[in-house]
Amino acid sequence: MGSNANPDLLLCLWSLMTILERPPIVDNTDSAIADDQYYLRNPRTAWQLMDEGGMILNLPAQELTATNTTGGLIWEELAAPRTARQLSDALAREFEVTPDAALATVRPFLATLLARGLISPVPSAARP
Amino acid sequence: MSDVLALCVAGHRCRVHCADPAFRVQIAARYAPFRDPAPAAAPDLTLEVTVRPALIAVGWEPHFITHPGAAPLPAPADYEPARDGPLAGYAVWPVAGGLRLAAEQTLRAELDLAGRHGWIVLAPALSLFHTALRQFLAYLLPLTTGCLLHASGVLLDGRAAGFFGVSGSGKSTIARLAPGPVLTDETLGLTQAGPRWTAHSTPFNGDYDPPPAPVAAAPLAGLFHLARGTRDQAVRLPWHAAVQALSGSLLYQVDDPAYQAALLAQVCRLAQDVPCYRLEFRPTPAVWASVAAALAPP
Repeated sequence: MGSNANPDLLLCLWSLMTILERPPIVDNTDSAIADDQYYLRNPRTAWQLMDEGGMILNLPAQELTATNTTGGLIWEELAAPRTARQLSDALAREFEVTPDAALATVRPFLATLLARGLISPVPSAARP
Repeated sequence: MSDVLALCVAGHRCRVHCADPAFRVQIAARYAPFRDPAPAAAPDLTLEVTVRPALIAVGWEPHFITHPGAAPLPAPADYEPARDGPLAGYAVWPVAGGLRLAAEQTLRAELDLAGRHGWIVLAPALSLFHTALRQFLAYLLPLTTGCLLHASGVLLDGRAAGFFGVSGSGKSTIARLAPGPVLTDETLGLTQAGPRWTAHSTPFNGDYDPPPAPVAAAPLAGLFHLARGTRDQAVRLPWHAAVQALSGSLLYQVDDPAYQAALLAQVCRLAQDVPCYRLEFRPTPAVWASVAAALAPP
């Protein structure tokens, strides 16, 4: 990590998501996320990204998930199939963090999105 | 006498056609505070109301959530027979280009979204007209500029404060304690123009059923998520928490992705534009000091 990394950003990355409706998910850790697996937004979702952060709605479950603006950036990236590694590279380009540092926070974020039914793994045949 | 009534409810200009003179008189009387003094040439919503005293059956029939003769679903947690009357099957579902709703054999209604035209066939009970109009507005408002909130509304120095929460949280209690006129004790209409929101009185009241408000609408100053407690305290909610709280108090939602996305967008903007507080309160007039302090300019 560069010595001039923004500490606020680091805090932001470590708290990508605020879970409002349920206690933190403990049965689906980031170990479930392989760095080369592609993921994509589920179509049965609605979301709103604003200056304050983002809200993602799982339509069938009627469950809201809150993110900060960094999580919103990842969510926007997931409009197309993306791996954890690709998402980390995108964050590294946007912010002053190394891809490895970003990856450490992207993994649990993806794990939570996956556990909440907001993204799905993309079968290999459908990958770009 | 014309069979047409011109109403304005939650900022929506409605033209109601009803050929049944007795039922038309009932609507006119109950909706007198909502008569539109200057009816628009092109209303936001046109309703055709048909009264049928006998059991209703139309070309389409619903799959009820609860059905007469079938094993009923458990009553809602906040169900009070004295207040709510007997349980009735009710169903609402999106169809291509609109919405359908039904209540047992007493109500069938359909909304054409593009034409902004609704057809209501009902038994002669005003509550059924309320039900259909409220459902139509709950569907239409998010697709335009607002939403219906399960909230009471009170006028304070010319501005409106909304108090929302589940049944039993204190909406009617707050309305009874209000130091100023009450817009509603149950259903607050909210509309947006730029970053400014307006709170509207509605005819859809709860058990308090306050007298008609002196104004139909007022600028919205703040929203309060009610929690009965042992002290009076208003704490500003961060945006995420405000969206979450408000989302639990939206009325008559429909399982339609486009509508749900529009509703989420409206609530996110509402939480961004209007300060939202968690209000712990005791049911005494002292609560208004906390509300006034929250709404006071910084």
